[in-house]
Amino acid sequence: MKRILKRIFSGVVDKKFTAFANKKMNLLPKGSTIYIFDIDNTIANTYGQKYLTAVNDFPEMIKLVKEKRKEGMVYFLSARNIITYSSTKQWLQKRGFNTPEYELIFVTEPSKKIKILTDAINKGLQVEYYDDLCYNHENGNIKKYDNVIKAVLELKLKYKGINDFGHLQQ
Amino acid sequence: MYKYLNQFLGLGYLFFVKLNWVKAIKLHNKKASLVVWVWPNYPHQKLEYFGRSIIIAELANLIAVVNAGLPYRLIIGRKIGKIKDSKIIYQVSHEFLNIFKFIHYPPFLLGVAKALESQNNTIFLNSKEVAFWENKDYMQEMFLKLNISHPKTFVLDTMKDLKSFASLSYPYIIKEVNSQGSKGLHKIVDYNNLIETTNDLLHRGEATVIAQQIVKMTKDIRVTIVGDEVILYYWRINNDKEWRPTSTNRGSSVDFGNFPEKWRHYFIDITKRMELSTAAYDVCWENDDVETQPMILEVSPSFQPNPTLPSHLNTLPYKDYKTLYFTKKPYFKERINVLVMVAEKKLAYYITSGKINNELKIK
Repeated sequence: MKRILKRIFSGVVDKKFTAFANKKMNLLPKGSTIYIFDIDNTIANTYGQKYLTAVNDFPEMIKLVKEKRKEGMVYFLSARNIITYSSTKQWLQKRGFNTPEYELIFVTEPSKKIKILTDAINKGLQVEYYDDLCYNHENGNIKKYDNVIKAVLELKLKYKGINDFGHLQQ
Repeated sequence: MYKYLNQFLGLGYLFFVKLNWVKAIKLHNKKASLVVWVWPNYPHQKLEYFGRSIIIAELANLIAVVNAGLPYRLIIGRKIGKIKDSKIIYQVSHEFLNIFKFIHYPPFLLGVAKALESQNNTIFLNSKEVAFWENKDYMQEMFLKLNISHPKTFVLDTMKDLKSFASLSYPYIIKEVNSQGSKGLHKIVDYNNLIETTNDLLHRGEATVIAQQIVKMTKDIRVTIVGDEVILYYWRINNDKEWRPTSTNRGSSVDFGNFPEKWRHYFIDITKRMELSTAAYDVCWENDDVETQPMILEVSPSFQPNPTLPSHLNTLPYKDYKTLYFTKKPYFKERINVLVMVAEKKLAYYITSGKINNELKIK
């Protein structure tokens, strides 16, 4: 029963955020470039950190996000738990990332990011996507989402993984 | 009658469906640097205000701001004069901004825009854009200056230039310089007709007019641009053998397909050259040949877009669509949806280009 309810809830959350992302991206002209950034271990240093609100940022990555904003719209795409949406928004606001210049989109699991990315590409947007696509940093034992990475690489977008921006996290 | 019904139903749809009141109240903040200015002539013209399209356009602006999650201040009426260091979104309207009822109102509207800018406000539309508003002689001046192709046109004085009028080959059209849509257009077929028209214009205080060659065409296209994007377009087709304005109010048929792709970038480029953030063009081609250079009949920085005819009604004349209420996508609803979409697109353009953000004023 719990599993069924969880599935229904996840479905509703994903549907709502997909609709939200589509609505925002529909406002952009075709051909414009958008930058999509993951949060955990991409711009936020979650290594060994159990409380998401207490995490520090990677200052060079924050700078990169702000630089990219000058070139196009920036979206944060995260698979954090929905109950942290408001605190994540606050965490971003503290770093100067306010809506509607920077929009925050949540998905219930990393594989659901593919749908958001595909929708953006289908709208004719040029997507540059920054995501380490790793997990378990809080426990100090990093693992990769191999299937998601594979799916992302098959999409028509510029993917920047940990090898591309890792030097900015030193 | 159907116009009033559309307005009434449209307002209901805006107020009770499109506007998120909870969010709107929550986002209202006296310290917000973004100002949404509505009903410029409040508390006057009450009946007119609720009966005209300005209220819908202003509410669409408000909805766009609320949907974007931007903190804002709502300013009603003449309190705008005290606003400084802000970003102001408003709707240009000669009916509600031209409080002294000037016949030649563009300089007054431009003055309002410039006064707001002089108080360190950034306004949308800005004074450079307002200069184009229903100001056909300025449009002509800019078309010439920026080498934008348009039908052969002369700006003439109704008192002094009768000889010049008479030397033009008939038929041609005379356009009143401050008019909108197809109002203020006069077809001149012979000398008697010219005398009659110029007398009438003089009597009404229309000193300067535009005389323009009639282009051989049966259709023109209304192209609407926001920033770098063509967001709407439709052809207006004159089904009569004789020339007449192609406004949909005059019964022209419309076609929402067949965009002349070849000219997409040209329209965006001329918008940039004229330093407009939004523009609606009326464009035609000699003999309707879209392979030749397009001619810009008019440009407006502020516009009332028409919704696309729904696919299940595509054989219906457009004016009949306006009177259909019990259908899947009724006109009154689609009109609101398209206005809100345009307002959201405009706002998204201002946000992406960094002209608007969600700053609060530190007092």
